[in-house]
Amino acid sequence: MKYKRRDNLTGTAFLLPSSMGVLVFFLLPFGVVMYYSVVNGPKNSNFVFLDNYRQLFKNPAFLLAAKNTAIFSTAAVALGVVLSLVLALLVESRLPFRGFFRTVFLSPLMVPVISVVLVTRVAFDFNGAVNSWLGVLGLGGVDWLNTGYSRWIVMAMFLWKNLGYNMILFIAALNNVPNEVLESAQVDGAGYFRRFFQIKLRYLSPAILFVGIITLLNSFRIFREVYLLSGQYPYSALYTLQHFMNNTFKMLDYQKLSSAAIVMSAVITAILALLFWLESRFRKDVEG
Amino acid sequence: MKKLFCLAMVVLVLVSLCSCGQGKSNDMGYYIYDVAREESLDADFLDSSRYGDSLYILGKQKSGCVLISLSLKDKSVAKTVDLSKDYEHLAAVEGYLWISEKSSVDKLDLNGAVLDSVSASGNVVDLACDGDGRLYAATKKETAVFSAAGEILSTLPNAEGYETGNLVALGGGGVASYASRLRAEVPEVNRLEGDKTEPLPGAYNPGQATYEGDDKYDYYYAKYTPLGNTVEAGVQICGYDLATLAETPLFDTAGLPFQGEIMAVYAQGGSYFMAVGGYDGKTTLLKFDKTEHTKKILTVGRMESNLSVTRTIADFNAATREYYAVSKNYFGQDDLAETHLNLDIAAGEQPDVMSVMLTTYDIYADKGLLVNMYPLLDKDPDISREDILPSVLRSLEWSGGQLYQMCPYFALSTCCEHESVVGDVDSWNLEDLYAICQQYPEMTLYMNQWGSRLINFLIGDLFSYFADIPNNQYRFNSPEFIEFLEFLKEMSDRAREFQPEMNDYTEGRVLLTPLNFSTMDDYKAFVQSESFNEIRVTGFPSQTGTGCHITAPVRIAIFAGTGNEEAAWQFIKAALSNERQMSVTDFLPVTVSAMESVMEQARVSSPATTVTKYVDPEGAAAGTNLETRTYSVPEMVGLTDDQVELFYDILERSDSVYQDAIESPYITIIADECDALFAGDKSAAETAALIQSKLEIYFAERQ
Repeated sequence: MKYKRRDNLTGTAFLLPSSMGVLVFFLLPFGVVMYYSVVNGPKNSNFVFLDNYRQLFKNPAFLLAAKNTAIFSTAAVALGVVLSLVLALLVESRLPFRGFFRTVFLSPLMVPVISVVLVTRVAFDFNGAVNSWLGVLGLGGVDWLNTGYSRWIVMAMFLWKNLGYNMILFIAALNNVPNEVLESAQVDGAGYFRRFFQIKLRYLSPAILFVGIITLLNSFRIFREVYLLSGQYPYSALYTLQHFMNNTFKMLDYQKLSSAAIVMSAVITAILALLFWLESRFRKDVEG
Repeated sequence: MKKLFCLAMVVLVLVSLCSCGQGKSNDMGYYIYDVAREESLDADFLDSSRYGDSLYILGKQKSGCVLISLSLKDKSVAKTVDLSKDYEHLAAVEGYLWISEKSSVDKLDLNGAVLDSVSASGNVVDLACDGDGRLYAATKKETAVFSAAGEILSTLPNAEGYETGNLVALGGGGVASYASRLRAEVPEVNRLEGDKTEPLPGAYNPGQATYEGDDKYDYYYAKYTPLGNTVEAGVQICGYDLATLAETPLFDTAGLPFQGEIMAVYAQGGSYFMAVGGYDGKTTLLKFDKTEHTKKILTVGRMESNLSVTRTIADFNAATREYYAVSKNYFGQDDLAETHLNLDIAAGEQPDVMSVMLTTYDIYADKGLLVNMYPLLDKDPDISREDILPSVLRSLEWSGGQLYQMCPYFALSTCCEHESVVGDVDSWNLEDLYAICQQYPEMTLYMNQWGSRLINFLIGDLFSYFADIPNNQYRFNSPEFIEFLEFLKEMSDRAREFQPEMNDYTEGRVLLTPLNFSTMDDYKAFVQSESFNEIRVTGFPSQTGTGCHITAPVRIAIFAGTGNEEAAWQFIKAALSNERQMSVTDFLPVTVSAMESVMEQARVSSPATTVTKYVDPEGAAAGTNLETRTYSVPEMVGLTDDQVELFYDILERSDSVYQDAIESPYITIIADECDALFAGDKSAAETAALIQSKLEIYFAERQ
């Protein structure tokens, strides 16, 4: 009993610094945001429970931002995972110049965001390079950044910047797939695709989950690029939740900002929980 | 144990949450110090130094230099000794004084007899002694360190290009050397101690006068104010601790019946002494004793650096003993000024009063953060609504009738046209504008203005025609707005091809002339121009208003919930005081009495005169700089009754504050999108669709 008590004390003492860190840097700020989301203003701070959330879900700007963010994130995660996995498989295959391609795919990581934005601007501005080329071909110019194309231009920019890192993660995961399992399957007559889908993909599931989460979180940070590209009020297809939050912060509307932040974190938490659940189901077969 | 730990964490979270949004706690302020002793010394102040309880002042009389010795401890008669040379600087040590004349530094006994002499490498700019009795004699390029016996110990050179301005003996030992480079904003400040030199971070704020320290503070300083380091400016004296980089406000000179530059500050017991260099060739020594009363701090947040507001702060401080107004400057923080203010509001640290330029209070008023000044105005026995120009109040009002802002001065902003073109009308709308421009195919809207500038001129008055903000209805993709854009495009193209000539306006080739009457001289120049009889002041084309506005460059508001609302209102009253209003020179005053006075003066003719102005950034003698300008001001005939009536008519028609693109982001959104239209890259319909899309988001965020 005495030893157990001492163990508890020691454990608590070791736990205290990190608990304080979590408390001060995560729980307290989150609690403050929660608090602001259930009071009615910076001056009186009357408790209004869910009124701010009701207002939020009626706000057209929030709904537009949420829709755009959902579209962008879904596409970004899907394309980000699939394309980086394909790239990893290509780089790991017996293609010539593999080293060169690996460097090429990784190089965007070293380019500052502002340079990427500048190049995109030069290319896709109404008087930019792409429209000049179209003009040479006798085609009319398109206002790329103020039409539906803008979302896919930003998507291309996002993928170009992030695929290299994801690819490295997949290459590492591919190297961990046991060769003996693959060789046994090959001896048993399994083809390339069967080996990939039945064996490699199952071993890759933790990496897919990780890349998916990283891509999802990065997709929420696309605001920086869009803000630099189109400013505070971009074309409606590019207006994301971060624009909404940034602008409501500037308007001192902490209630709207906090409610949106809570909703966003709840959605992300739900998505992550779903991904973890899917991954655990998928991995059971491998471990089993 | 686990339960206890969890409970402690939960309590911590709850306590933190409960402290959110509690608002601002009042600043403690500081004790009031009254002048308890005043000594007038018959000498112009040159320098001073203190050792122990004795203060030595180097002064200049008509007959020559004098050394005045007096005790800080008790009130004794000051002893004055004539000196044989024209000394400039002084440093006191136990039993003797170091005193300099050009490159020579003499050691004098306390009766003024020369005991010894040392030489510096050049003209000495300041002297100081450290706690170990070493003498520091600074020339512009270096500081020579001498022992108490006068032997040179070391020479401490300045960094390349830096010139010493002054030395300050530090309370904690050593001497601070302030050296600056030509036109460099921040000087290099070093602590000199024997042969050691080390940078002294945090020891300098631009413009602050610094005084030697003691065992309480490393040094004292007078907090900077653009009105100068004078008693009448009501400056705050602070102590500075170099270890913690903390400043402590100690007392202030607001409201004192003395005038002159604050030359030195010394602490003695619980009191402070201040040497004031008067403008009459005399020096006044003031002793400040602590009272039982305290002063609160009234914070004036500033997004402007306007001298009138600075003077209002000084007026307020001079008029009240209970509060001392201090500036909290947001204006030096570029485009982050509003963000910093918002963060202060979120932290409950908002200023009591806010003064802004080129920005609006919209978001703060919408959030209920501002005090409606009408109830304060209505219950005030000294001032009422009738004392302020009605059109100014009307223009500053919110749509709900609240007065959240006040301007200390204003200008009139309107527009005039040729009567033969617009006819005998006092206002007009968009349809009239279209009809006139169709009638005169050669006509342009403004002289030499095209592209998005046309948007900036016109949209402020037409915005409400296309946007019904309270009902969330926006018609920027409507045929009317598309027609408006097409019209602007055509007028922009006309303006680009336009070849200006001298008589364009009188021939009806330029339609609109914006008018801005900042002073009555502006108005006089307008009504006394040759073409005045042929023109009409119609205001800007407007669908819902009169097209006449007031321009309020500086607007002051009171933040709610600071606990200092009454004092904040007194601050607003200081801005509206007769003295302050009568001193408005570059704009028009807002009180009725001051306006009447300005109008009376405008009725009087002023003769032709010649004015010479020079800009002299390098300190050259007056009139020798190349930037000197001399120009003639023609005779200004006094205003006639009709002209006065027209002025009041324009003033009466002014019903809103002129909004430009800087203050109104939605104008910027429209103007930005129109760039492509004016460049011919997009059609009016495409531009209108984009504007509608962006403005819908802009206003939806505000719902």
